[in-house]
Amino acid sequence: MANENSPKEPGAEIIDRLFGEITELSDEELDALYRAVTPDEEPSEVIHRLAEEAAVEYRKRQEVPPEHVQAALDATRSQTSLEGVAKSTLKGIVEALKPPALGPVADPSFAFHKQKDLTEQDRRILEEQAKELEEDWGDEEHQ
Amino acid sequence: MGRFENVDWERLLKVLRLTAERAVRDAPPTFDCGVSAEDLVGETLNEFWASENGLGWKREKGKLEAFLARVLQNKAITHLRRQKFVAGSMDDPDSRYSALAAPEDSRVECAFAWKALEQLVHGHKDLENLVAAAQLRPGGPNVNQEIAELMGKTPSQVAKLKIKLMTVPGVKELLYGKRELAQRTRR
Repeated sequence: MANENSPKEPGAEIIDRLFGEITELSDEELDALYRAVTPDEEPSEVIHRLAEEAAVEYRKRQEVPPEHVQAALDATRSQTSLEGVAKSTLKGIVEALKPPALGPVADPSFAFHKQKDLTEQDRRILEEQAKELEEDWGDEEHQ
Repeated sequence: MGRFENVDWERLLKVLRLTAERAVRDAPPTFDCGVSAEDLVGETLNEFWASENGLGWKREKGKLEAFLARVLQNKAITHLRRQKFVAGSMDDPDSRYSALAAPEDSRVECAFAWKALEQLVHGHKDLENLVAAAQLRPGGPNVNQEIAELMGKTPSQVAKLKIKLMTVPGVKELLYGKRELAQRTRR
């Protein structure tokens, strides 16, 4: 907004040097910056709300909303399928699915992953397994 | 649908919001541009949709997001000019706008902000290199290409590093936090 000689706010200066022109950013870079500004805001919801407000104004005048209003409404309508979804949305879904699930593991066979020390639960599982094996082997020996 | 068939509206909103954030933050520090970034986005889109021909945008004029980003920037300038502080053109070197922010102060502030960013990424070798490379370039287009050449990486690797940078605790606050937060880097 300011001319080239105008001093920039430090954050803006860094963003300029690191990211350059906003319109040239990739979808992923744009999303990372957007999430930094508004982590909880859904862009499609904002567009839909504003486009709906504009459409209401046209309807109040007994007019059909023009193509650019209708296009925004159609593109941001709540999705019940992935058909016709914007490329950036699809990418977002794929990216969200990519990282491995973190947190407690329900399946005991994965419970020891990346753990250095045995927990009480691990010991209990091991004891149960040992007991089970002992019973199985014991049965075989008796036979 | 014609002209607007292939518009990515979500991307467009993100571009407008970030352009608005930049416009508001670039305003002189003694006042706040008189409008929030969110309001600027709303005003721009309302004007676009209220205009029956979409402010006359055609594909030949470039991408819609770039066209509306310029409309938004002009709106921000109009808001600034409406305020009494801004006497005369903002392009005029003698205007009060130019006098409000001394270039020396700004340079010092920027230097402190870069230092703060370096401290935040300390220990992440690839991010340290990214920040160093970004400081060597003057800004403007072809960012990833230029940084990639400086770092000996591909533009795609640079893009991924920048996304990683945004996940480092404190970086978002430094880049997009309130003005006062950014100024704290001076202390």
